[in-house]
Amino acid sequence: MKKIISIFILLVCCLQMPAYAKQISLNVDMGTPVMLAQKQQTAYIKVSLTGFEQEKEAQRTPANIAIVIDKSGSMDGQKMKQAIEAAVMAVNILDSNDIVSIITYDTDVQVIVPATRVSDKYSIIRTLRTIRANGSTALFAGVSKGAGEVRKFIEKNRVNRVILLSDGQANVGPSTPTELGQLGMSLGKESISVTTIGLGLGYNEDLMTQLAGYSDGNHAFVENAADLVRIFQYEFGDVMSVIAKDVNIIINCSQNVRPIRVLGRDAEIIGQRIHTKLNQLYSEQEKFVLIEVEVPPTAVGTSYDIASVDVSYDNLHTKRKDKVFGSSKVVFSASDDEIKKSTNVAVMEKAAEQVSTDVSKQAIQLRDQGKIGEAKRLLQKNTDYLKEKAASYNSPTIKKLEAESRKDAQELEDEGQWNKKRKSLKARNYKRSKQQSY
Amino acid sequence: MKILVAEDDQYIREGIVEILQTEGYNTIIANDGQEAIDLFADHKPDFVLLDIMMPEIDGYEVCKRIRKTDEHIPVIFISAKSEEIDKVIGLELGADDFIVKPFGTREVIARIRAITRRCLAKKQDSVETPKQITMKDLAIFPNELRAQRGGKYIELSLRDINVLSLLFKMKGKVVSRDDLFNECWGRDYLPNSRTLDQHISKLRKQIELDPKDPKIIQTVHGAGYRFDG
Amino acid sequence: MQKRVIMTLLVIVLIPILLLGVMGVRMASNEQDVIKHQQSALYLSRLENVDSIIAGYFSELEKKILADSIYISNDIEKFARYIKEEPLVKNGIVFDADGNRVYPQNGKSLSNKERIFIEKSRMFQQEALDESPAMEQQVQTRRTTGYQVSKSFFKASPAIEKPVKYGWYTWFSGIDQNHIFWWKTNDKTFGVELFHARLISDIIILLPTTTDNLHVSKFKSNASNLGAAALIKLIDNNNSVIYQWGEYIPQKQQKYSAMLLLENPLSSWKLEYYTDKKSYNPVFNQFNILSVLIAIGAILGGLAYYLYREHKREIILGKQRVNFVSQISHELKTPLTNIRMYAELLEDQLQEELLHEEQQIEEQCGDMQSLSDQDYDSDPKYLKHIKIISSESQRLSRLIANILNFSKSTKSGLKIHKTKGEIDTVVSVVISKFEPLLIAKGFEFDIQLNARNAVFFDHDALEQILNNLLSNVEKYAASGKYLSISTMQGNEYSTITVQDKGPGIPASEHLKIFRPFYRISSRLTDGVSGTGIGLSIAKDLAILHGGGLKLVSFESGACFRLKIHTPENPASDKPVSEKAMPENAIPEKE
Repeated sequence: MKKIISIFILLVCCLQMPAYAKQISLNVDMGTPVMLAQKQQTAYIKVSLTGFEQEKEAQRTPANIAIVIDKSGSMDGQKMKQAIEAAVMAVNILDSNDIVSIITYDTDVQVIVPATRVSDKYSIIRTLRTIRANGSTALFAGVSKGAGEVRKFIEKNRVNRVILLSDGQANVGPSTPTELGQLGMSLGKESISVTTIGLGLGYNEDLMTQLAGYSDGNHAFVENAADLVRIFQYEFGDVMSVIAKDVNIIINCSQNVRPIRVLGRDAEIIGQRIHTKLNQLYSEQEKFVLIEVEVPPTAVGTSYDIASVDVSYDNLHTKRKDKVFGSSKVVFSASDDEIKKSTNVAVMEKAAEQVSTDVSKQAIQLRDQGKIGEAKRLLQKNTDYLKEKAASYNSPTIKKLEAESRKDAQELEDEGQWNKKRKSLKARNYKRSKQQSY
Repeated sequence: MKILVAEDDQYIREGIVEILQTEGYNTIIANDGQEAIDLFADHKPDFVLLDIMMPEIDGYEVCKRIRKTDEHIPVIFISAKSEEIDKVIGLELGADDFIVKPFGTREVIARIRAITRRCLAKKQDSVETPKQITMKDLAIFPNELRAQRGGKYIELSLRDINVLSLLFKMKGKVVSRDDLFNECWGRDYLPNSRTLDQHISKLRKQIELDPKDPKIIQTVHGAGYRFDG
Repeated sequence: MQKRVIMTLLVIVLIPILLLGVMGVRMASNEQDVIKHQQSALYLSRLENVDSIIAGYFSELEKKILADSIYISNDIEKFARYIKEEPLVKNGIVFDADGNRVYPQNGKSLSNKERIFIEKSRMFQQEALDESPAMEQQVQTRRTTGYQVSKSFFKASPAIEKPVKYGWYTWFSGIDQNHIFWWKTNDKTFGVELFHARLISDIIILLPTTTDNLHVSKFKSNASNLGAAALIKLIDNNNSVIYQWGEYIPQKQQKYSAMLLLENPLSSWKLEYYTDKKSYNPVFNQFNILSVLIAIGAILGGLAYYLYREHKREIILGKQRVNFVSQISHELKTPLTNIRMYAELLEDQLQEELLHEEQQIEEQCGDMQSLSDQDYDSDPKYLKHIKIISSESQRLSRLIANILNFSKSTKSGLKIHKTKGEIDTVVSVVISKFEPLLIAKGFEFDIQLNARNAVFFDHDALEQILNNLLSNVEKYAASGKYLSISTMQGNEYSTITVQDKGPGIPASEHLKIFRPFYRISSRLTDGVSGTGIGLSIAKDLAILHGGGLKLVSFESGACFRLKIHTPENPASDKPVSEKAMPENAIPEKE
């Protein structure tokens, strides 16, 4: 009798299986699961989330997008043309479940298509094609109005996003990276992400990265207007593959270790607890956060959970708040061999990349202060560090990083190319920090 | 005395001439400025009466030319113009007086006599004319063309003076009509006894206390007149 | 004279134009002021509309936070979560009445963010604790009239149950502006820091956008209706433009047409209104005023010119008439001269003949009583006739002389030319001319001549004056049958008095009679003719002569006194012209 009941329960469970809830997968990995005993050292913990596969077409989460296009005088010509084409393409990709609004800005702001369902594509596209470039750059106001349009139809179960396209310096309204960053932070809290696309060599990359960074949007440096359409495609690819939102990650580190820093993402460290947030998670994309901890000398054989992770998120598939747990153990050994064997090269590679990225950020800061020499030395030190790591893990990836670092050190001095270099550096750093897909 | 009269209007000219002749002057007549200048040169009058508005050469011009030859000869302008400026011009040109039309006979006579007095006063030195002659109770001043009885003055014409002077000269004797004519009217004058007698009557009227009972000029019937002294 | 007329006309033309011009300018500036004022008021009201949007936003925000506060004030956990989740909130702080921090909890380690915030907000904490007046000041009721932010803007803003002490606390760190919205319960003080950038962003969303006239869109948006006419700017405390809308593009350095300061918590911010200053068309603008002035000027000028021309024409006509008159007089002179001369000659000759005849008869008839001594009465008719001709021609002469003098007096002026002579002589001559006429009318004479000295005077003038006086006597005082003339001299003046016993002159007339053309009566029934210019001429001449002519008594007959300046030497002669010598200047000498 019990057997029949259990089979029955199993069957019922199985029946429910087809409608099984998709979950994001959480992985907590250590770079060095086996560590040398009796030695104080740093360790890396990678907490990664991967979005589940999205069912095509019908399963896609509807979007609520505001496209904010810079139409200041500097956009005149190819840039404006390509920008319009990119937006047209975006409108074509969307469907009547989606809501789109188009905002243009120069010295003032014009909401040329207020938030509306993408049903009458023809009218929207026709309106897009009437855009003419002329004036200054009221970027803040443009983004604000964009956010306002998004708010009209903001919903938990939608992807709420502002896509900003700009080629110039904001010169009307708040225009410092801090102010834009604060706006980004506020919008991010509201679950509105701002993706910033910098076009050409005249935009403010600090501003753009801050705005995107704090709101957890994407950032791209598009040097050539002809690439705009393609970039928009990638962006909309992301937009249409959001499977989770409001992802809260709490990492509790073991009392035995001391968290030093969080690489890549913005996180709050309160004692042993680290808290970070992702606005959204994309289907089949991995986003991670890397934690550097200090491990005191520990006796051989000791083993404990170095970190336990709680993730809560809005599951757009189940339309519920879901949770997921994870943890990672650490073991102390005296055997180098064992240590070496157990080393998670992938994690170490990521760690190296994130450390490099962090160094790159610092180097840029130093160079901004005019301390070119120091910046260069920093990069040199990094190069050496990477070289060592590349050798010890036998990693071609890290070797590439090393070459990259060396190149960066050289190109740091080229005054004429610095503008472009800085933009591409910032974009690269950003993408690596956020694990941007494009 | 000779007076040159230049006037283009016939009647005025003849009228003036008549007045002058009645007064006892010889007249030289010019119809226009040019004639006046010519006649002046020929006849050398004692003074000149000039009309200003004359054709060809006007009175001012004549006066100027006359003054070139004789600075002192008296000139009287006759004119219709009575503007102050005309008088000033006239007087600056050396005119001694101005007669304005329309004038009366008495005006002409008064001015002529005034000029005559001046001429006679000048001539006095050369010609031995007594300053005063007394006939009965009448004091006569030939050069002043004046007589006086009591306090009253009597104005006389040149001819009157000439007549009385002649009678005085021939005191007690009869002066024949002819003599009187010749002396006082001039040889060229056509005699007419009526003229003479009328003149004497007029003279009596002026100087006699009772013209109907003359004491100074006594009629001598058929012969002439006499002053009894 | 001419100049005076021109000046007067110019004044008449210019003064109204000036007055109108001044008035016009004043009215224009008045109108401009009014329009400016109206427009200022209009612009200001537009700015106030905008301000009410902003005020409405803050008001709703307050409501929302206060509503939220009810749920979170009693549970620190809820408060913490609120800080984390509420998009507008950046940080939060709670402390109790003693100043102990409740949140973030003392003792527990803080995140960087929290640490920075606590440091930054020390002043707030202090003042909140002390309940300083600065805090009190910032508590205020906000204008909630007008614009109401839609309720959906903030997720929930229900009515507040009980009023609680709350307020905004704004301060600057460097150029950054910070806002804390705080409220107090019985025992604790709560403060939440709001994202300044978020506040701006929300406000921008509420404010209008610029219409883009270039495209026709079927999408209606929250576009402004300012259009091409105006531009509104939202400006922060650093004088930088936060946001602007409107199609008007102000010129460089153009100043705003209206300005409004915002309220708490953006009290250092302002709204500026820009517009084209010349967007109105006042009636009294420069062009209109100028054209009106020009039109009036043209009209007045035309009038003035017309008047002037008429006046000139009148003068010319007058002159022509005068010229004509004097022309005629001149023309008349020559024939008149002849008439008079020959009449007198004839008269003389006839007199002579008569006399001669009488004398002859006397002589022949001895003592026979001659015909009566009244020579004049028993004149033969022909003699009487010629006498009439003679005297009338003299009268004609005098008339013409008067006319000529009068025309001269209106033209360039009479002048006096003095020559030496005796007053009495001239007087006698004049008397003798009038004697026959007056005797014929039965006149008695009383002649006292005591001006025998040789002096300088204008013979013609004197003669003229006396002619006129005696002519008047003959014309108007014949009924009196009496004429008295006396002369005297002294102190360089000669006085001639002419008295008659006629009807006299009424008191009201005694000054008028000296006016030109004035005759006491021009009734034809008087049977007297006259031009009325005689006394006027006489008086003018007398004055010119340095003296005067006065009517001294007029009761029983008229008595005229003539006084003239008659110096013994021409050097002491004072030149006198027509305009000088009022009568008072003559020393009265009896």
